[in-house]
Amino acid sequence: MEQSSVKRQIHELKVPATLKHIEQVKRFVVEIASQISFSPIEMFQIELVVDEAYANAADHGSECSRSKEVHVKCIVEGEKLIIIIKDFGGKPFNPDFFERIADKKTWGVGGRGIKIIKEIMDEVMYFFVTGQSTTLYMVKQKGTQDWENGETSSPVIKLPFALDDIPPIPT
Amino acid sequence: MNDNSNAPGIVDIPAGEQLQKLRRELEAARKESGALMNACALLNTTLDLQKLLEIILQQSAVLTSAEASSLALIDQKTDELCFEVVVGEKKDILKEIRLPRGTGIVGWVALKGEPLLIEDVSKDSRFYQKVDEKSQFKTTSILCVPLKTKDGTIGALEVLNKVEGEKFDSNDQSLLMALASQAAMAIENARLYKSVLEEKNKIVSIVNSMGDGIIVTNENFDIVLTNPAAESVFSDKTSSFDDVFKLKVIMLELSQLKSDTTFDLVLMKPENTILSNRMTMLRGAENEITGSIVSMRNITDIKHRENIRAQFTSMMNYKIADQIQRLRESLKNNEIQCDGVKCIAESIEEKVIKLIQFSEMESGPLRLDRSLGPVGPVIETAMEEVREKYIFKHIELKFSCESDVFNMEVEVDHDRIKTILCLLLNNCIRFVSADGCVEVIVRNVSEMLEITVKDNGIGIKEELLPKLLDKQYHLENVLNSSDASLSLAYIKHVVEAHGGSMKINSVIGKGTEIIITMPKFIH
Repeated sequence: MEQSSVKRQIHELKVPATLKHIEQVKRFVVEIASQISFSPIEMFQIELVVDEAYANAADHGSECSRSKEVHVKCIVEGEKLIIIIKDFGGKPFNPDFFERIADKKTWGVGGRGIKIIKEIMDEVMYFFVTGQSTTLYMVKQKGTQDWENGETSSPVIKLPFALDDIPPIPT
Repeated sequence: MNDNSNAPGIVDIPAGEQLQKLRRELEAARKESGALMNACALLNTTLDLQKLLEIILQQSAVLTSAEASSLALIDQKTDELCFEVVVGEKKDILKEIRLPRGTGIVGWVALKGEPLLIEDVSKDSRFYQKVDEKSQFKTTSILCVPLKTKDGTIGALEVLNKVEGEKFDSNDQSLLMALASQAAMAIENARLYKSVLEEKNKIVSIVNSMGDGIIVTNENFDIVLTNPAAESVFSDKTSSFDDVFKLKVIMLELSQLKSDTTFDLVLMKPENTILSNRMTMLRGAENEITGSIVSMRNITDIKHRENIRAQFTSMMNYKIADQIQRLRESLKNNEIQCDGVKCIAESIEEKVIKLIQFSEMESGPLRLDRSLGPVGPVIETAMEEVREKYIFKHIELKFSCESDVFNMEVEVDHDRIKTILCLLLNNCIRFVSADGCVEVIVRNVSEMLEITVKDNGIGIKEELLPKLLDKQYHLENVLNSSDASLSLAYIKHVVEAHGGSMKINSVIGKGTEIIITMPKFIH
């Protein structure tokens, strides 16, 4: 990575895979992200994404096992923030399914993290090695999304079907 | 390099002259060895076989002061000798000449692997006249030496006619032998280089033509070769392929694995691509890692289809469960009346039917229950089933059929034909306005039964027509809208199980006709 012509600073944090460390991870990312003059909304979004992504890595990826680690890397490249979160659970899943179902799902809680990550970040990639690791690679570029001015699709999760799908109940 | 033992009268020559003679000989020997070294150095300047052969010939003529020189290599396939390069005026003519191994002086030398010095070729039976005839070159003397490598003789190098009427001597022979041994090695190297280059080009062509993405790295996981399929996945508008950071991250991850591995990549944004990959380590002679080859298969479409199916069934099941829950709660609170129950039941039934249609389509060709019977009554029964809805919407429903066709016996699954006709007619209602008309036409077309359902409704956009018979399209539609149905895909499934086909013609604003054709009997 260091061979590239673009100058990059790489910061790394390794924590045990427990939800207890979520605040530490968020502080770590936010501190590095503050090197780029992200807007308050963007900073909030980054925090939200780290929240979701770390929870997935620690909870679903590593079953919150203290013996496993989660590695978080943050890279600043100009006005780009690259976040890489790697867990060692090695349990592949189908992010596309979760992203799509989040749109249509009206039951239960959770399962919308991936959709939120995809909405907010400019680049998202999952790297699965079954039985070994899952690496989530994300990029946020400053100023690419401007929800206040409606330049991008709304992050609000839409209802998947018309409300009248459920027949009215005559009383 | 003359041998002193060849000078018996040395004692008779005065000392001054003797010294001068020796000095001349020493000078000549120094020039010769200088020329030989120069020639050998030139041989190392190229790996291009053709250029190399030309250098060998020029240098052999210079070294031995010959009028002309030629070089023949053994063609392993035909076991003939081919004059690869000729220096002199007649080179084009000589290049076409091929000699059977053993023929002529060159052939003899190539066969025996020994040098040959012939002062007068007219006295040597081995001399092959035809070469001179063709080239119109008058050969008087020849010095020919074999080109030998560790694997044997690969050809022969000859020089012709020493200039100014002199004769080739053993000194020339030694010089030419020395040059030939270096030349043979250089030829072998050039040939090896050429074959390696050809192999490399072949591999590059194979890699480039592959549909799967291929990335080859060195031992440090730096990318050394990629094919267009891989480049198209990772190409980035802002940076060159080599500088795509995502790819560097992937390579970094792979470098930590350093073993044969399968892995998946989900490029969610912006590519929206799913890749199933395999990394195989490349190893050297001592099993050390020399690099890796990563093959990447794009499985986006397959995964997409799987996802749609999984979503479809889970969505339907949840919706049904949801409605049953509502029904149960309303009944518990005594909030609901008969109409309400009927309404919810119909909604659940509609979803269950979609699930049944879906599972029938998923489980492959239908098992039909064929029987022999007249076609007319089946059509009429189906029309009766939907008539109430047509009357309610003021749509005319017509049936056109010749009487002999009405009673025509057909060997089909009558229940399923009735079902698909009901589905078609229910479908039409949605697109025909009040006072419109729907017509069912049944015809006998040689061995085939043709059922046409024609309406004067809103019509279908041309670009939509091909999609209407695609199951995937309808599945996605159902996921996005509760109005959508799987009917058309299911009808097609039933028609195809009968060995028939289905066609849709439509004009926007004028109407649509759906034509079903199927064999009347099983053969």
